[in-house]
Amino acid sequence: MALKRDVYRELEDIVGTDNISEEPATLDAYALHFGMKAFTGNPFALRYEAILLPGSTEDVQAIVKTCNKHKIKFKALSTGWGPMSAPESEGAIQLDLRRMNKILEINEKAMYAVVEPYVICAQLQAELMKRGLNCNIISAGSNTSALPLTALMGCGKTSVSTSSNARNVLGVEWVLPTGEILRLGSLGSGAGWFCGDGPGPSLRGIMRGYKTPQGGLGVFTKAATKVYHWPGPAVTQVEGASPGYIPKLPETFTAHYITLPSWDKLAEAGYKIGESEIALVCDKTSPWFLAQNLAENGREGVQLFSEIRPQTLAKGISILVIIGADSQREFDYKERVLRRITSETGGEFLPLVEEPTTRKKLIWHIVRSTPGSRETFRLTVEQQPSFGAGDSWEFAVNEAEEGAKLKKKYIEKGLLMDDGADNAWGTVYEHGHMGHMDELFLLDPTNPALRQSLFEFMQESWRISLEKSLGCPQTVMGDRAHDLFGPRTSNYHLWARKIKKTFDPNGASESSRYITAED
Amino acid sequence: MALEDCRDDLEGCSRCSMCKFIPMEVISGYDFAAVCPSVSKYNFHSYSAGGKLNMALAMLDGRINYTDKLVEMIYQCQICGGCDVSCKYNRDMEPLEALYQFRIKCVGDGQLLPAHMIVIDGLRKEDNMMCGSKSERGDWAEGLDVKDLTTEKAEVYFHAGCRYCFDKELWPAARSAVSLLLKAGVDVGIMGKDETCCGGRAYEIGYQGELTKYAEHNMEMLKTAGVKILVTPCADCYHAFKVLYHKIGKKLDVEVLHITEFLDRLIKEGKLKLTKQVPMTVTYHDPCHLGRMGEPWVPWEGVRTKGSGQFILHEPPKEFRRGTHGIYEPPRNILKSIPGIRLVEMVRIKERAWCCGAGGGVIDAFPDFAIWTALERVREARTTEAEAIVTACPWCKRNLSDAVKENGDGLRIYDIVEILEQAI
Repeated sequence: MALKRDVYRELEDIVGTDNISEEPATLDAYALHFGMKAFTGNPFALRYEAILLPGSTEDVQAIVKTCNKHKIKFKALSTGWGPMSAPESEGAIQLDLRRMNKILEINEKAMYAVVEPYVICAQLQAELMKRGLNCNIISAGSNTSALPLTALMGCGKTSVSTSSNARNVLGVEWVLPTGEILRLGSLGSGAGWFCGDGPGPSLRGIMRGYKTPQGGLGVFTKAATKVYHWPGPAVTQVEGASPGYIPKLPETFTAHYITLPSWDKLAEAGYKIGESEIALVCDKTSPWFLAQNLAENGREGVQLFSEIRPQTLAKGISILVIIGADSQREFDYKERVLRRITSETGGEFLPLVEEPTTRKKLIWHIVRSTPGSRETFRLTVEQQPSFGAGDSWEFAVNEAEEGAKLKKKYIEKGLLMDDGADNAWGTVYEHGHMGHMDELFLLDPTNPALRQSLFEFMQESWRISLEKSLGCPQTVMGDRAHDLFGPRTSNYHLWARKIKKTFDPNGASESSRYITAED
Repeated sequence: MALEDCRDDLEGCSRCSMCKFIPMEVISGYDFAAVCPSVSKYNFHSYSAGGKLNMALAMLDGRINYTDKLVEMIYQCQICGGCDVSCKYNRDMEPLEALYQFRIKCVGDGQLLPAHMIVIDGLRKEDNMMCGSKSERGDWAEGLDVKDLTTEKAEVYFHAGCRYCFDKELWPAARSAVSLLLKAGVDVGIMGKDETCCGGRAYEIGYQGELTKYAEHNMEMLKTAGVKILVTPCADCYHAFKVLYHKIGKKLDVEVLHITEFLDRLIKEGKLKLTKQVPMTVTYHDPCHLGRMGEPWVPWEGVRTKGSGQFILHEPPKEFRRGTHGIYEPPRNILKSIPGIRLVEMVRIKERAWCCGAGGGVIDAFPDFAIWTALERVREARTTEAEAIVTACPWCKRNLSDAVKENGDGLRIYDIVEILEQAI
């Protein structure tokens, strides 16, 4: 069902001939997403009718208004990694925000940065580091948008020192599903980008809420993100060639991979590390992830995993802590505190990470959030998260524990890859008061029997979340899922649906991964 | 090998977009983070390596057919390998191979670009990619006191390459290269008008038969000539002789060296004395075919198996070419050894270098895109204190020079041998 010619021409007039395509090959390039093959057996999602490359907020606004006028659905993507940017209904168009790629402001004094959607985290972080600052990068990696309104939860590997995007988002420019432009926070009163909650309208909860609306509630065209102190060099020299880069880091940086004897001790250590404010990173990196992170190829990672397994999984649960300091004195203090916490919680350092070159590489990988697809996609080509509601740190630890128990059953049956069962990724943030943990599982999507196990695993993980009051998993998207979890979670789904109806009366913003207005 | 053989990698792309950027670890600012000229210029995801893999899969699955636009998208790419390095920073995949195979499929299916057909017709008739007459191929060397390998024996064969042979403006660089070898006492000879194309650029456009043809011809020629070393100042030819021939099972029996490797060796052995000052601040542009793509071919024959029934393992273990072992240091060693030269580096160097724009048939079919890409490199060089860009490939020199000429930039473009000769 191609767009009507007059509609196409109207859209073409907005973005220009070179920035619109309905070439079938291009549409298919936008239709392929990870996860599709695992869930449907077909790597391609539905095609959009056209792809547009708007270059400005004005372009986006004009496109959205045209969509409302002609009753066409639209959805925007930034870097587009994940099936969330795919439609579930025919006839929609996609806005690829790639041309909107500027860092508009870095305010060192007020500690925020204003970005457009196609600035990637690696770019923003590098510019910030030159100014002694750092930004939060979602756990997917630095190849994703620096706009704090993409992805799901918004936590990342440095979140203990850079918080999560739900908190970091400040002033926002938002093209509503109707085409009206709404400016939130201090931006809404012309006072600049520095605050998300005023003076001016504070719709943080409506706009973003617990998770982002997955492209289903208009288009975020600019946003400010809070930035944080970076205790490292302005420019870190990196030696060697890909993939074995070795950064030259100051002596005031270190990393320890700590294995704790139990989930309870993990919770205790996480709180203490968060509250003491000593860590640049406090990351629940599983032994599987650690091995893949450090290995330059998948096979080497499998070997390394088998080598560290007796020292980690066999002994308990592990976290990675990175310390960075501005002075030797500060570093010594932080190191002493960490060693004390480790001792109090019965933890042990993994010798592998105590080796200086390995440690440097690991620090740089994690701080720059570079090996996301190395840890997840390299060996199995497919990964999926489970659980990941996010709440207090202890709550998150409980989720990880339940996830590991469930996964163990599937691994023993040969239905999921043996990553030691504990392959939860998570982090402490907000000084230890908050935490996130999702149990990642890796599987071969080409095997139909294993694909069936994926469904069963997901269903069972949701059942556990409901029965054990483990909150709303991050994989809950779309009407049916929200209708399942909403009644057990303060009927949030009714509110979300009201928001959708109010902000998108014509249902123009394609929201199959968020929530629709249908009761 | 066929596109179908790449299916696992086509299906394995997770659309992470790493192929659009230099490896994340070495992104050092907002600017110069991109590695792919194609998606940087045309913006749609379909122009990136990931997008092309998606389209190739759609083609194999019968979801799409050829259109003029699709063929254009496939060829609006220098096939420079930047995407391959960035993907392989994290993944055990072969995206560049899939891009080659997509083009080979295009040619096999008769999906040809008129501009390429002209060049290939010229190659078939005149044995060169420059539409020149084969009888004039040796003119560049006129007057040089160098052995003629069609009648004499020498230890070293100097292969000038199509661009040097037929681009008159570049002749001085080729002549300088030979002069330097002679000054160092190297027993070197040339084939003159009997030199032929290496077949590498034809292969990159998708004409794999031409690569086989010229590989067989050159193997025979080298055998007859009885040389021990093949040296070339052309990065494209170097890549073909060293990497592509080996890839198709035609590994040469002689040592293959780029001129920078040979000259670096001669300087270290004291056979070339650099005595004159060359007071200049320069930056070095790594040619794709000498740098990331110039690392040795690593043969692998085996199967992808499932470890623990789930994860992919190559049996026997496969060593991936990730750009780690390209020819990066010899040209830098040469520059550092020249008195008065100050080498300043750009952001995108070595395995993550930005392409000059000329490769993969782009200079023939999409000259505007070639110049656009070169201008991006010039812009990057301008952020250093360099007065000149030094490179080690005639295609790079040609395209960068044309770009500088077109935009009136005063930046000078040199082949490395031209700078070296000034120091002797």
